[in-house]
Amino acid sequence: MKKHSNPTKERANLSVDIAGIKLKNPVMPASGTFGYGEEFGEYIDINKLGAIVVKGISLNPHSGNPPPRIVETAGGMLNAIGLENVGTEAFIKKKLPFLRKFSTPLIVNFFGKTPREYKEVAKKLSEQEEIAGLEMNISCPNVKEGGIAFGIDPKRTYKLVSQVRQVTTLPLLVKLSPNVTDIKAIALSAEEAGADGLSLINTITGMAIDLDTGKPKLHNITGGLSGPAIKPVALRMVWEVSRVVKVPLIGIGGISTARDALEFMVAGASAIQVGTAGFTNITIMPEIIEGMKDYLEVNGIIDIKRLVGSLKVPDNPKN
Amino acid sequence: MHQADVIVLYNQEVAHSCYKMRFLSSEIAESAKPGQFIMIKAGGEFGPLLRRPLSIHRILASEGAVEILYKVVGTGTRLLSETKKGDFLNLLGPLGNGFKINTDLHAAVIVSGGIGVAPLLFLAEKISEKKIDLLILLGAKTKNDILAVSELENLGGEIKLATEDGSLGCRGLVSELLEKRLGPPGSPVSKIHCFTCGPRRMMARVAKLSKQYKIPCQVSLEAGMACGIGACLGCAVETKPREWENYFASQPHYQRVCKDGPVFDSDEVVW
Repeated sequence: MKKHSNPTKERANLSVDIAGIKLKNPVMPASGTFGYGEEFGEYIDINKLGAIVVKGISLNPHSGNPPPRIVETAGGMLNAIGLENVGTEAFIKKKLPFLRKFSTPLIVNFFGKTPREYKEVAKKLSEQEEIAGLEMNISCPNVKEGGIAFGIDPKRTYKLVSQVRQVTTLPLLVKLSPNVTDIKAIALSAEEAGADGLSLINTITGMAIDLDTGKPKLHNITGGLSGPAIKPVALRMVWEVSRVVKVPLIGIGGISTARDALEFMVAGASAIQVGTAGFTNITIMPEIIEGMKDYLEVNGIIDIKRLVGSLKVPDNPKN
Repeated sequence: MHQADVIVLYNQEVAHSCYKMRFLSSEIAESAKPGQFIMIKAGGEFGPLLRRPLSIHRILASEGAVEILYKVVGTGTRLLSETKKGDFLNLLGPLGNGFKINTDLHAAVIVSGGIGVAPLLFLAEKISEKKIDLLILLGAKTKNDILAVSELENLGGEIKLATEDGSLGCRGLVSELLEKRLGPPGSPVSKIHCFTCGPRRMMARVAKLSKQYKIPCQVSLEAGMACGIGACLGCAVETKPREWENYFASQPHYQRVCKDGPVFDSDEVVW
C-alpha cells in the first residue's frame, strides 16, 4: 500500500459498514467463542468492540456433544461442542437483556435442523429490536443438523438462503464452510440468494488420535480446527471469494494480532472476527483494535476502508 | 479476576515429576477461595496455544504469594516445570466457584488421590482455621506419589495414608480408608462433610460412599479447557438436570467445569 505522511496525527478512522450495520471498528468475536457476551463482559469493555456475535441459536435448546469436546493441536485446537445453546426463546428472555445494555451492534448467529426451523428462528429473532443483523450458520462441521448439509452444495445453499431471505429484513450474513471443493461457488449462490454479506471461514474438519489408547481424542471423533494453524487457508479463501462476489466479507480464521486482522482486510475482508485467540488472552480484541489504529497511523492511512481488497498481485492478469 | 504477568519465586520438583511453584500475585492471594483455579500460559510465544488450568494449592497471604502443585503430564506442564525463579508467567484467575464450607459444619473429611491433593491443602487450611474437626485421607499409587504430607501435618489434624502397593500407610484404595472410617452402613454420621479430588474413578467411589452414608460430598473435577471463563463450552461434564431445566429432558444435561465448577456436589454429577 502507498504510504502517506500523516503530519496532523489525526486518529485513523476504523469505522466500517457491513451490509448496513455501522461498526465503530471492524473487530468482532467469532460465534461460539464469546458465549452470550456475559462471559467476557466481566473482563472487557464490550462497547469498544465493532460488534457482538453470540453463540449460534437454534429453535429448541441443544445440549451439545458428550465430552471430550476440545483438544489442542499444533498451532490450533479442535472442537466438537455440538452447537450447545439455550434455544431461541431462552435466548430472547434470558440472554438479550444483558446484550441490550451496549451501544455495540448485536449480530446473532443461528442455525436450524430443517429449512423450516431456519426460517422460524430468523423470523423470531427479526422481531427483536436490539438485533442489528443475523449470521446464518450453514457450516457447522460437528453435527448433522448444523447446516453443513446445506453449506456444501451451491444449489441447496441458494435454496435455503432464499427462503430465509424472505422472512427477514435484517442484514443477513451467511457463514461459509471451508470444507468444500470450491468455496467461490457456495459464496456466489449465497450472494445470488440475497445474502448481504459473507462470513468466512468456519472451522476446518480434522481429527486427533491418542496413540497409546488407540482412540480418537474427541468423543465426536472429528472436530473443527481453529487457531493460527488455519490462518493461511482462511486468507486464501477470503481472497478468492472477494474476487467473485460484491457483498462485503467478514474474515475469520486464526486471527491473533492486529497484523493478522489487517492482512485479512488487504485480502478483501471489510471486517474480521477473532475466536480462538480470545481463549488465550481475554483482552485480545481491544488490543487488536488499538494495534490496527497504531499501524494505520504510523503508515499514514487515515481510513481503514482504503485497505480493503488492496492486495497487490503484480503478475496476475486478473488483477 | 485478573489477567497479568507474574514473577516466579520458586519452582521445584517435590516428588517424581511433581512440581511446586510459587509466584507473586497479591490480587489472587487476596481474593482466591479454596477450590478455585488459575489458567497459566506455559512456554512463551512458541508454547502450546492454550492456557493450562491448575488448582490453587496454597496462599501465602503475608507475602502476597500463591502456590500451585502440578504433575508433568504433557508439553504444557513440562514447559512449566522448566520455568525458573525470576521468570514471568502470564496467568488468568482466580476462576471457578470453589468449595463451600457451611457455617454449621462440625466435622470434615478430605479424601485425596495422588495429585488431587493440589486444591485440598488450601481447603484443609481454611477448614482448620475455622476450628472444624478435620480428618485427611491421602491416597496414591506408591509412597512417591503421596504429596504435601508435611504441610497437612502442620495443620494438626488426623491424617491416614493409603497406597495401592502398600509402600506407605495401608495397602489399598483411599476410598477403602473412608469406608472403614465411616463404619458399617447405617452407623450414625452426624454433620460431617466430605471433600474430594483425585482420579475420576476414585472420586466416583467416594461419591457413592457419601451417598450411601448420606454425607454431603463436594468433588473438584478436572477437564481440558480452552477459555476457563465459561464461553467456549469445551469443558462440559454430564450432570443431572435440575427441575427447572427439564426442557432438556430428552437430551443429556451438561455443565461447564470451569464456570459452574470445578467444584460440584457429588450428587449432581453423572459418574
